[in-house]
Formats: sequence, structure tokens, C-alpha cells
Amino acid sequence: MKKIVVASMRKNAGKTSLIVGIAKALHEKIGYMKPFGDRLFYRKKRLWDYDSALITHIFNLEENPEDMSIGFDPSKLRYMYDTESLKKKLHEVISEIGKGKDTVFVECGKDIGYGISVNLDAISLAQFIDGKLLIVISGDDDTILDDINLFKKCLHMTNINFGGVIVNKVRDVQDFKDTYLPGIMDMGIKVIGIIPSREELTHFSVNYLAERLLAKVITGEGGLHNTVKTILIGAMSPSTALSIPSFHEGNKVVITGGDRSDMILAALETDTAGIILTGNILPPQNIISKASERNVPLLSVPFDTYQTAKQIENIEPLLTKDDTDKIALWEHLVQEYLNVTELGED
Amino acid sequence: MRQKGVKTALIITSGFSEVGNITEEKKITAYAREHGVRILGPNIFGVYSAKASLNATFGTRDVIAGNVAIITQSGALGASMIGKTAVENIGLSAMVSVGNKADIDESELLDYLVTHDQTKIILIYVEGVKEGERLIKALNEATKKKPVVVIKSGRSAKGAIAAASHTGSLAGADEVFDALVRQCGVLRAEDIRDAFDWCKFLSNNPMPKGEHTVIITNGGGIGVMTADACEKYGVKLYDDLPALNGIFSGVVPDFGSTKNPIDLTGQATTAEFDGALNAALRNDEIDAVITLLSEVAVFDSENMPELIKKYYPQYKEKGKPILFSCLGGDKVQNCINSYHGSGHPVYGGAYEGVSCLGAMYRYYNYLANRSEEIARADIPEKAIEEIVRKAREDKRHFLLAHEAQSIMKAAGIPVSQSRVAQTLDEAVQCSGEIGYPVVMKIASKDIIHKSDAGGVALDLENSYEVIDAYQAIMQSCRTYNPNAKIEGVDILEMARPGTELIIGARRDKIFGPIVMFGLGGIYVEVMKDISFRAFPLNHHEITNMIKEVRSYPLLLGVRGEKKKDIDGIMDTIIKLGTIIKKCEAISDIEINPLVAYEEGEGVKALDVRILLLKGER
Repeated sequence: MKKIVVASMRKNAGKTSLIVGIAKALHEKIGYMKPFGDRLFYRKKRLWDYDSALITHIFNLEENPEDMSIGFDPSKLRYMYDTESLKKKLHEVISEIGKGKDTVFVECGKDIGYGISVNLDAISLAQFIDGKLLIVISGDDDTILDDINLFKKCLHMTNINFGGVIVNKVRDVQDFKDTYLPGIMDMGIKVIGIIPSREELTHFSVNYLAERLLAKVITGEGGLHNTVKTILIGAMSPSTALSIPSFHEGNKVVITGGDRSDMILAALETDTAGIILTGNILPPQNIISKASERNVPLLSVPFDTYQTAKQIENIEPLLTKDDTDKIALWEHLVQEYLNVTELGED
Repeated sequence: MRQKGVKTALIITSGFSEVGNITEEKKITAYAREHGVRILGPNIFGVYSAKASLNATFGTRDVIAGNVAIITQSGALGASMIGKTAVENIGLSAMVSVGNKADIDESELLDYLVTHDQTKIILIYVEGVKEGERLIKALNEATKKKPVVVIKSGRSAKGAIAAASHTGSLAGADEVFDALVRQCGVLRAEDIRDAFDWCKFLSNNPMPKGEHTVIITNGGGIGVMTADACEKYGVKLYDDLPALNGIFSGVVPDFGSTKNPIDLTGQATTAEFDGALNAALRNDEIDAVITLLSEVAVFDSENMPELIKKYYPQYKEKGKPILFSCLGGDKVQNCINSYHGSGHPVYGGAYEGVSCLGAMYRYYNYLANRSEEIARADIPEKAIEEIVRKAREDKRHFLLAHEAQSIMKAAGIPVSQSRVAQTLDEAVQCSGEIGYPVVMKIASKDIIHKSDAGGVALDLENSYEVIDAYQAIMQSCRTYNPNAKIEGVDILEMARPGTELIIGARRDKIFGPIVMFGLGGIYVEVMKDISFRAFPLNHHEITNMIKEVRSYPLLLGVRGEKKKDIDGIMDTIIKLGTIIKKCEAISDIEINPLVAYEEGEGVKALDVRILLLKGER
């Protein structure tokens, strides 16, 4: 059983999506764990990591997502484990999850140092379970080079099985290869893939938005699968809004006050994926009926417009179990831009 | 002016506080006060007094003297109302325009008009209220003696969109005004037409002695429609069927109906109406009559005016209100027109007249149930002040959960057991001490609406669930507000289920202490099933405010459930009101939810929020 530890220098680098793409491309029986969960979901007194639940679903894994994480908050880990008992727990979980599997992916927390105070950072994990460490790096070209240089320096201080670097979300792959790859190779860092960025991977559905904002769906449930490409704040008058070209673009979500019937109607008159009503204020019934007729979801949130926009700004376009097109695209990107065979080599 | 003996100056001139020129208005008022002169206005259209035969307004000169006094904040509307009273033949005892209310306001005028013998009814048009507490007091005194009709514009203005408490955000200016004036027995009209109709009816008809109203009709359809109107306007129909049969069997044909509405059938003429009206007049069980006259082929419409002329004075003399709703062609319309402006209660449709009778019955019920009793509760003021003082020292404008619970306990309001845990170890320990199952809630002054932040976990049955919940709450709350200072978590006893209610009390900026009651839980702001009252109030009014919410049947027990402990709910309302009344440092108290159990089993406050007045030290 191969043990691949996947970490990133910074958050939102695309670790989980890459694991999905690699696992699909490998055509092997895989296992997954995320010892230090950071995207927690708490429902009906059960706590699990979003990524664990996603991968369990996509690959029909038999294990419970709750058992794929050891903790989510340092307070729990300090309360329950010391270094030795933590190592023991890790080995127990990985041997249980790895039963009958060809490869087990161990995903680290949001960045390379996350969880270091409780020994669940990327380096500690790779050492404890004797796994091969893959580092995912993304960002602009300078950030990528900074991160690779930093990692190179850290690598000297550690005794780990380093598998290589995957550079993700690159705007121009050929340009990157021509300009930076030779220098990176000279540093002795193995680059096993350079994956281009794709705009369609940054879109999400109205349902995803509703779940992330913990919004109440007032009506238009049939439109929850609508794809969101643009977010607009409806603060202006309807006539001004209607004169803005982006207001007429499809796949937009409009954020406006629940008492702005005029703006809600203007949004309903154009191609709109969904409308977020702020301030916990519901519009009159005739407006709700109109949205219902047009199957445009109305999402009610308790926050004001600024807070709502800020929260949306921070939403990561995570993969969901229903994103079959995105999953297929990740498999394709991995097959085309990543040397999968190198993952098996020491 | 003072040297010349002038006691009051009327300032008609505009251009003061209504356009932002507050300084000059204050300067004039201060100067007048210094010299013992009272100011009416500025920005008014004048004063009319029937007693002094004075019309110092720039409204119409044709004012009819009578017994209705009008106080108006709007000059233009006041001027046009004078004209309208003349058309409607409503006699005025006085008309005062208050304008910017720099000195004399509605409250003072009300105090005067209560003792004004010529005034039988007071009509007030209000746009904004400055000193609400004083107005409520004046209205309370006025309605003891005479009906007060109020028109207030600005219903749509929402006073408080975003506030720290549900009570604050639900207490829109108009909702509070509406509840409070109704509590004083004021009749609030939607528009001028309603207001004038009511004033005319109230000034020309006697107050009923009871609530047994009878509809006498010659048409089934209009009878049912009027019964609907009675339901809408709260007019109770007399429903003692044997008694009704005894009264009307002699005048109703066999194929008619002596059930209320009394259906004389389409064959009836004014002669049959005469018999029925005479029977109703003589019977002491009947307190009010609605007469529906529909013009059918056999109906002698030409005799309608005579019928009305005969019975209206007799009913008036007997102390029974009567009204006539007439439907039909030219003759009927001529009859209605002939009585227009006469003071006779003759209407062209079913709803107009019943709306007037409904207003009269609202006032009748108010007087019948009016009580000088004030619901009181003993609360430990010193202990509360001490808790507030400590919060002030900590530079807080709110109380922490355990402080709020201490106040509830001191006031005798049952609360669920709770402990504050600052670490996961303490959370597990506290849960064990309280006993499973427990509830966990974030403790942070920066996170007011805990559910929205993912800061609440319910029904935790063992230490593993407590550990997971602790992690989930900490992560969610840090994401919700990364800058929030988190003091830890509150561990509370998991109360057994019951009906979740909300009870709030707040110090309204305009009206002073108010209390709120309604259906509680997390959807309180969506459902908005709430009622307000000014505090103090009596037990009868508390019962009314509980009955007023749409969810009241839940308290009586639905689908086999038993009645809930309404006494416990009333007791909690009184205690919260008393705290807000007596402890001036507290601005808002809210219990949401307050769980009400079955009758005799009490209530329990699960979450209490107390806010302090800002700026006070």
C-alpha cells in the first residue's frame, strides 16, 4: 500500500481536487484520510471534514468520513493525545483505512505549517506514517518561485520521502515551462506536473452558495442547480441596474435587501441564477410567487449587504459530489499535465 | 406680549424645525417661556373654537358648531378637514393645529379637551410623536371620559431594521404606536373617511348597554355579507335562538328566519320592517340593530325615509344604537342622499355602517374592561443594579449569559442550569456536573445571534458529543467573525420540549417601557407573530396581548396537547416589564425561547439577553 501525503504551501491550492484527479487517473483502489480537518461540517451531532465526505462519495468508500479525521481543533487534540498516543492513533486509522487499498492519500491541513503545534502538520505527518510527500503550489509566478525556494530550504532540515511538486492553476503552462522550469530543476526539485488554470473550475451552483451562507431558501428550489458566474450588488435603482451590461448577463446572482421589491423584480426580469435577500427581510408574497414561477431561487440571509458580499468573497469554489463535469475535467487535466507514473517511484 | 396680557401666541409662520431650522424655533420657545407666554406652533394653520365663536384659521369660514374636537399636526390636512366636516355636517367644538409642537402638543390639548364640556369626541391626526410616554398618559385619561379617534400616517416607516435584540428589530415605530394607542382605548382609523364616519356615528348614537346585536334584513345575501362584516369588525351577533324566535316569530313569515340575521324575506315591505324594529326596540336583550333594506320588486322604497325617521330617534332615546344600510336604485339613493350630513346612521353598503358600530363596540369593551389595577412584581433592584454596575466597570453594554441568568433567578423566573467553560476540559467537566443531555452555546460579546454563527449545539448526550460540538462551535464562530473575542462556551441543561415563546421588554426611545410577547424560536423575525403593550399594564391587558398573537391556540393545546401554563407566561411578562421599568440602566431584556409547559408545570427561560443603555455610567 502506497501512502501519499498531499500538502500545499498556501491554502486553497487545490489539494483535494488534485487528489480526485490523480485517484481517477490511477484507476486503483484508493483510501483517504485528513487527520487534521479544517473544513468541518457539523450536522445532527456528527462532525466530519467536507473533503473526506466528498472523496468518500466520489469513490464509494466504505469508511465513515467521521473516522477519516482525528481532530478539528487543537484544543481537542491537546485534550486527548500526546505525541506518542497521536502516532498510535494515526497508525490505527491508516491501517484501518488502507485495508485492501493500493494507495492511501493523506491530505494535510490548509497550508504546510497548519497543525504544527499538535504534530499534525505536513512534515510531521509524512514522517509519522512514512509517506511520500507531494507539495501543491499555486499563485502567481513569483509566489510559486518563493514557495519552491522556501520549501527547498525546509527540505534540507527534514528527513522525509519527498515525491515532488505539482504546480497548479498556471495561466500559461508553456511559458512557465520555458521561463521557470529549468531553474527549478537546477535546484534539485522534482516537478511532476504543471496544471493550467481553467475558469470553469471557479464556478459554483446557487445551492452551494446557499449552503455556504447558511441561507434559507424561500422559493425557486428548482433553480438551485443554476451555475453562478457573476455576483452583483443591487444597491442602485432598477433603471440604473438595467442600464448596466453585466446586469443582463446570465448566471448572475444579485444581492439586495429583502425590502427592495423594485430591485428583485428588475433581477427577475433578466436572466438571473439566484437572488440573495439580506437582513432577514422577506419580500411581499407576489414577489415570492413571481420568483417561484420563474424558478429563480430566493435566498434569505440575516447579514447586511456588505457582510454578505464579504462572505461570498471568501467562499472557495470547492468541488461537490454533483460536479461530474468538473471531476471529469480534473481527471483529464491530471492525465494530460501530470506524470502519474512518477507517483509510484521513490 | 406678556405686558399686554397675552398668554398664548399662535405662530402660523413656517420655516422652522420642519425644514431643519431647529435653533430659531428653540430660541423663540425659550424666550416665550421666560416671559410666561405659551406657544402654539410654529407652522400651524390656526385655531377654531365653537365656544368662543372664533375661527382664527385660514380654512373655510363655514364651520358648523358641534361636539367633535380635532387636533391636527398637518396644517393643510387640517384646513381641508374643516371643509370636509362642513360637507359631512359634523359639528366641531374645536379645531387646533399643533404644527411643529415647539411648546403645546397633543398631550396638553388632550388634557384640556377632557374637561371641555362641548367636546364629546376627540379626533387627532398625528404624523410623529415626540413625547410618547406623556401622550399615552394623556390618551389614557381622555378615553376614560370620551372616545378618541386617531389617524396616524407613516405606517410603512420601519423604525428599527437592525437591532441587537429581536424585540428591538421587531418593534417598528408604527407597530408600537398601534399597540399602545389601542391599549389606551383609542380608535385608530386607517383614513379620514373612516375617522369621520366613526366620529359622526359616535356623536349621534348612544353607547350600547350590551353586545347583543341583531341584523334585520329582507335579503339573505346582504345578511350574510353583513354577518361577515360583523366578524371582521368585532360586532357580536346575538345567538340565543329560542329567545330570538320568541322575539321575532310574530313578525317573520314562516318561510323566513328568526336566526340572526333575522330574514324577513324578499316579500317584506316597510310594514314588516316596522314590526321587526318595534319588536327589537322593546326587547331588553337586544342592544344594537343593523337594518338592511334591499330594494326588491315588492319593497316600498318610498317609505324608507319615514321608517328611518320613525325609529332612529326612538332607538336613540332607548339607548340602543341602530344603523340602516340601504341598497337599491334611485329611490334608495335619494333616501341615502336625503340623510347625508344629517347625523342619521344611513349607509349605502354593509361594511361602512358595521365599521362604525365595530368602533363603538371597541370603545364599549375598552370601558367595560378598563381597570385601574396595575400588575406588579417584586424584583430585587439592588441585586440587579450590582450586576449592572459590574458590567459597566467591564465597559460592557450588555450582560454575559450567566449575569443575565442571575437576574432572572433573582426575579424568580425559572432558568435552565448553566456553567461557563473556557476550555474543552472545562466544557466536558461542566457537562458532567450539569448532567447529560446538555446544550452548548458560544460565549462572546461579539456574537449576538448565536445560531446564525453556528454557535449552538443541542442535545449533547455524552462527552464525545461535547468534544465534537466544542470543535464545531469554535471553528464556525471563528469563521463567522474572525475578530470576535470568544470567552468560551456556555453549557446549559437541555430543557425538555414545550411551546417556545419570546418575551421581551425594552425602553422605547419615544414611548418608554414596553413589553413584547410572541411565538419564539429562531424564526421569530420571519413569523413576526408578536404583540406589544406599554408597561405598566393590568392583568386583563396582559391576557389580551397573549390572545392577540396568531399562535394563541397553541397555548390552549392543539392536537391532543394540554393547555400551557398561561399564568407562568403572564408572570414572566410582568417581571420583565417591572425590571425594565425600575432598572433604568437596562434598555432591553429578551427571553427567547421561553419554554411554556403544561398548565401548572411553569415556564423555563432558555436564553436570556440583557442590553444596557449606552452612554450611562
